[in-house]
Amino acid sequence: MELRIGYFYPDELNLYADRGNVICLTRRCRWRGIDVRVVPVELREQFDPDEFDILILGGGQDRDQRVVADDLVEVKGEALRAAVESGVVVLAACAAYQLLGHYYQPAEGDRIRGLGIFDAYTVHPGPAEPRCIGNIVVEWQGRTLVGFENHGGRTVLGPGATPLGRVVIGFGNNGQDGTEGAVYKSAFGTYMHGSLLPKNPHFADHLIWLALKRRYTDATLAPLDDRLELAAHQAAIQRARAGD
Amino acid sequence: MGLNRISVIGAAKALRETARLLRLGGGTALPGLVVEAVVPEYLDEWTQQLTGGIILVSGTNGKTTTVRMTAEILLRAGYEPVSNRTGSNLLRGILSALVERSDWHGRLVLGARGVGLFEVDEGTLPQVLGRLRPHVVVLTNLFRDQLDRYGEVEALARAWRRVLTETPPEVLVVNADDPNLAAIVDDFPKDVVLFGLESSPFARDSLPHAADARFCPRCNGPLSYAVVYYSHLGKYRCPDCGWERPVPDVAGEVVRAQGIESLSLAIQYGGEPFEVELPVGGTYNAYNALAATAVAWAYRVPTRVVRQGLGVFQPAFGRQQVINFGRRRVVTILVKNPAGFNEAINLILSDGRDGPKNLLIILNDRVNDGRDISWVWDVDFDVLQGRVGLVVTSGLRAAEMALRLKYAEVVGTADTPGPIIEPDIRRALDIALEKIRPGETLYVLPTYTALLDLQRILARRGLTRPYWEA
Repeated sequence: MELRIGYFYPDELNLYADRGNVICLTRRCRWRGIDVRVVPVELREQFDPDEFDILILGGGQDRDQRVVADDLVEVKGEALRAAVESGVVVLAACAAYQLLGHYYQPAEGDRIRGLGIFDAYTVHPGPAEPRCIGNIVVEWQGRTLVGFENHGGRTVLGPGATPLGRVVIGFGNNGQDGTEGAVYKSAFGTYMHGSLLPKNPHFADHLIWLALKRRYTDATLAPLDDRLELAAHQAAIQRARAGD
Repeated sequence: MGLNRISVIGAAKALRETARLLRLGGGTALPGLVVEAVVPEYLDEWTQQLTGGIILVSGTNGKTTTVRMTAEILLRAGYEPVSNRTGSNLLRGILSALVERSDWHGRLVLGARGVGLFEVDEGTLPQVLGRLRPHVVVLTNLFRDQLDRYGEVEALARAWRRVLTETPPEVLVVNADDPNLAAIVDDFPKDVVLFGLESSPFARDSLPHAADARFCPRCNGPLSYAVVYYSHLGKYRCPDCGWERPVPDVAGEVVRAQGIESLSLAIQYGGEPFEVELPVGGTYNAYNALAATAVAWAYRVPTRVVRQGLGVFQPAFGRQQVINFGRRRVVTILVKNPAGFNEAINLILSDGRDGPKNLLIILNDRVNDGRDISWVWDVDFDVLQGRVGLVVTSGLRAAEMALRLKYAEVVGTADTPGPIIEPDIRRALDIALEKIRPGETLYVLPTYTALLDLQRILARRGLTRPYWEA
């Protein structure tokens, strides 16, 4: 068996160690004997929606966001929509999550158009409002997800969007309604940036399982020794509780 | 007013002593906090007494070492440098240093021509610049670091550029090899001294993963690098608009690098080349020495004196200082961000000693470390595969550190044992020292607050001086 991971904008959207997610998926597949091919998908490059099983998109510097937004909508938009509709697994963190909504309204300047894959929009409330920064704990399918968020924009979900989970500690989408992230088919948007998957092995395996199920119908994942992963998970919860 | 002034300075000095007696960590910032709150005009008097001017050193990495090297040079050039303690690099840390050097009337006690030589937190530089009106500002480098606190590299560079143009120092000393910094020089209205590396045996031909300057600061086109020395520092050019690395005034060549303990550097200093043997290894220390030399250039210090100063400089604790535990060596290298961590790993791997490397990595996530530890996933640990012996992880996020090494397949593979995870730093150090053999080296890699904890532990054992004296 083999999975193909498309790693979007590795040079532009690599600010918050999103590479950790790619490393995690790759290792957890290989440790189970599943081959993995990671292919960078760069600016100005088109892709075929059937080319990948998993797409990873991360967070970037503010300046890059506009460049990336244009590229994502104009160059890759159609293929990305088609991929999501056909059940390709997508993990979009932070800036990329915002761009998968209808639009992002920055503190200054024009509205940045998004892809509208999630029924959601994001507004930056201006420099006077504090950013949402800190450890975050989210309830997802009866279990916890732990991560770190650092975003100025507040995301509001429309009636057509399902949140990824409920905020236990932290801000999430907007710090108001207790929602975090969004899910549509097998596309996941989240503010938990960077190395989310390594310390949430159950979520990482969920993504791998979805991708395998789509490509090979019959998919069972052999269990791995996750003691270290769960220790890191617990440590993150403790640090979020301590709040210092 | 006279009485008032005495009591303010007295209170500040007494606070420092009390804090030290109570072991509150040296009380390095407390007196400054008092003075900052009560008498701002002290600052004006102090700056007038510092007739040699004020030098501010800022940037992500290298501040402490650059200050120490510069101090050795200026001391030998007939100045008396007044410096803040490592890490106390907000305005109040600078004020604390001045309180400490003052008499009870708030006058600086100086034996020679005073010069303020302060390291400044990169996020605080704009604020401090307006208050201190420095003669020289040194910009070492800008790497991604504590994104939750400082924000993004380019935003910080823009803020620096704005404030440096508005309130320019007489001389701006800038690393020519960092494109985001070299661009600041563009519209700087006063003197500029550029420093940079011309060659090094450590040079690479491509950027590492966590590079922060991939785009031209002028036209946004992708930069192309002929040589990369360290993170995104190197010889770059923009193929779109033609902008390229400016020619440095103070240029260095790494002639020989012998592991952790020494580095031979040839420096072009105003047409007068000289060679110096630094008592520390690593490309970043070559840059620190060049920055210090560039300051010496601004002060017209003779070559002979620069050479002397750099040759006798001693590293601070946690900056490759070596401590001997009987026949076991402990080398501590502070790690704060991907750029510095990658360099620390390269240095350890090229330490000239055979055998696997023993590591104690201490990852904390307090405010001064950066609460977001995602950055360890940007460090290139894979190069350690098959090269490590004992691996202990410690600190508040010991488990995540171990996890990072597991996913780099450095530990926990078929032929390497799993790491030892011990969040308590004292116990982790004891375990590590017990497990290594006489004659072996333990590399301790702590984040910032872990370094302070470690120093406290070692000071209690009489093995190093406390950080407020180091």
